[in-house]
Amino acid sequence: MDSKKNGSTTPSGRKPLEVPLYVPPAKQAARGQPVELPPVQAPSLEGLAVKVPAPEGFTADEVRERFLELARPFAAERPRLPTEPIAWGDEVLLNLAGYSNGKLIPFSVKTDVWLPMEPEPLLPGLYEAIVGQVPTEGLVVDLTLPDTYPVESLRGTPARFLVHIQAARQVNYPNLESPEFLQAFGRGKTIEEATQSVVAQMTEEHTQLLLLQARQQVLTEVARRTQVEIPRELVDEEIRRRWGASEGASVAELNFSDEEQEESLNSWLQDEGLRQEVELRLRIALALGAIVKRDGLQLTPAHVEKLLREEAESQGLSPAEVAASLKAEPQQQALLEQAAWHLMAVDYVMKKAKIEFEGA
Amino acid sequence: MTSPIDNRSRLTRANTAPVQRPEPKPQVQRTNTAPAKSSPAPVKDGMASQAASAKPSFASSAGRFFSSLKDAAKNWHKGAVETGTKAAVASGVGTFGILKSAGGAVGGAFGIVSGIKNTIAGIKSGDGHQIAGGVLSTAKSAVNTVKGGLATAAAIESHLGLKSVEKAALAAVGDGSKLSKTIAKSAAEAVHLGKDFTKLDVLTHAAKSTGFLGKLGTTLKSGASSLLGKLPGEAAAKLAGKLDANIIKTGALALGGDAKGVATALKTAEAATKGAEVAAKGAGTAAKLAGRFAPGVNVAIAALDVGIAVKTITDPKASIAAKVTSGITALGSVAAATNIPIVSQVGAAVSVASTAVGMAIENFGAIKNVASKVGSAVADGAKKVGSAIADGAKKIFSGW
Repeated sequence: MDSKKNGSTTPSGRKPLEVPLYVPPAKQAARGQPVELPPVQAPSLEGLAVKVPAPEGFTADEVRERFLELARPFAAERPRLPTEPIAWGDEVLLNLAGYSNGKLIPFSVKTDVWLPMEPEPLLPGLYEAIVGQVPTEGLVVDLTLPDTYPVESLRGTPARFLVHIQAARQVNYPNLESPEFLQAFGRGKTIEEATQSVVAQMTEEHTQLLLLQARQQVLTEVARRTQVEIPRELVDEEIRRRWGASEGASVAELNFSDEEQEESLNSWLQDEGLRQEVELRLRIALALGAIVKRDGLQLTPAHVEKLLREEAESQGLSPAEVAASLKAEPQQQALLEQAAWHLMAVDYVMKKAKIEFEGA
Repeated sequence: MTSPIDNRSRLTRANTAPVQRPEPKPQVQRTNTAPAKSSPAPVKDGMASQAASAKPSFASSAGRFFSSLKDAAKNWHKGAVETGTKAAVASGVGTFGILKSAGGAVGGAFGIVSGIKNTIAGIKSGDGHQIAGGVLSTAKSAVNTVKGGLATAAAIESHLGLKSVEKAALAAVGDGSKLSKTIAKSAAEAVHLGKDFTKLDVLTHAAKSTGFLGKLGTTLKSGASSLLGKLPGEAAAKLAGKLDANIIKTGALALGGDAKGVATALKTAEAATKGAEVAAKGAGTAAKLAGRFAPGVNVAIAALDVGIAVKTITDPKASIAAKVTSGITALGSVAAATNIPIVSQVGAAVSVASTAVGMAIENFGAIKNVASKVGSAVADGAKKVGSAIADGAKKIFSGW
């Protein structure tokens, strides 16, 4: 193992000079390494027009689900004792990892995730195995993924799940028709009124979704117009950093060996769908950068301030503490700045686009 | 960061580490001391007796197990159990470590067999860590079936008054066609009036919905596939087939994390208890996994970034700066298809904050301290470059 880590090229791409202190793949990935951005020419924004297809809307079923989601904060939770078996409807704190043919299934390693216990026909037997256990159990669950499983390569194949139950809680919803609940819910005096209010909220949310789709279409068109060669290494680094911040952290926490950590990382690096999405985003970002330069866009303090204000309000933080903390961390300021630039540039592009909504 | 040696010893696989560990692990010795359970009872008894005969020292650790169980019960509500089991697991020789050795070896020593078979095989071969692994059970041993689950869920439903919600929802939504028009009109109006394109408050609430995040996944993924359609020949053909635009992801499960009660620009809440039917939601089978654990289903970047933000925001050790930045980064990821900053840089190449950000921070911090005056001058040499700030006027910095 030593020689592998000290070599000049490793799967995690560390340079020889960094050798002295051993760094496991997950941590290395999260740190990131410098990248070279390819040259890019700013695309024309002339005649930028998109037609957004008619939205799906939502069903009564979805309304009911959303209602329950919104009512969840009013449900009583009771932690299960270590000797109490888990029941359907509970929420369970789990560490999970999935294997297929001895190899890690990508995107299947989770740590500290609360999952509700509901039957899932697409993972037949998984939740059934957990219900009835007591918290702090460890299980190995073998099951066969059905032919309808969303991932083609896994259909009809056996899968093995390692499940560590850390804690569980019983969730008791109040009677949704009771006056006490309705008053606390604050959406009307009757359940019909409350449902209407939920529908109204969902309509707004779906409007936002449609607007996001419009943005996506515009940005995709901008990306399409942009001449740039995205190097493989750039996509790799982007995926690596995200992995490091997510599943990488999980596999490190679960003390997976170096080989296993690399396996997890490689499964992400090889996922075509993920690579495509990352490449699209890189294209967009590089295009926006070129547009900013060409059109002389400026980032104003007011723009940044607006972001800070909205975020602070949303998180319930005071301006003073936010400002004090940011002042002490130039790294965070740099990240903030990039996000602000990007958002500003997108707003600029959107103003130049002609957007038509089908069915409006 | 541990030294190389320390790391290696921690990473030692279960099969070389000693079976008996100093710290008690409740899950290891459950079989001997747990009260009789209805479901896998017969199997467990078998295991217990076999285990007892195979490992004499096993029984002596029962006492340790009891004390740890008591401790666990005492500190349960303080979340100490979580920490305790985590510590055991993190040691690598705890349950997860042992489970891992079972997980990776499919097709090898264990093949595709039930966990119980593993254990018995382990006992027969004197493979200590298998026995010490304690309760390895399989789906087959579970008494609860899907049917049982549905019955329970149905019971919950009637008690809750969900039927009334359903009725009211149907009345409000009808066949959905009117809704589609309403939404499209609303969006068109927003654009026409030049309103703020993304309403943060609405997105904040929406991001608590796994249904919304699911649809978000589809929405943002469709961009990639439509782009592919326009790329020259081979590349597009090769990749278009692999992209399933109906793949749905969730932010909450991108990383896990208990987001309840946490306010953030974009946060996710655990999915609520659903009703009895897992009905088709009209977007293919992948839709059914929205909001749930979906191994192998690749994660939408936006959902992933939301998950990362949630993790940061709920981390008590994270600084306020980190929390604020991750929330804004997540917003950017959802609303503007951003990349990880510094990997691709939209603004000029800078590694330290520009004056725009510096000023904004100063201005923002000054709110409530100075009577609504934006732009009060602050002495901070490192951050100030450029001209003075005008009252209430937007500041355009030179030097960019």
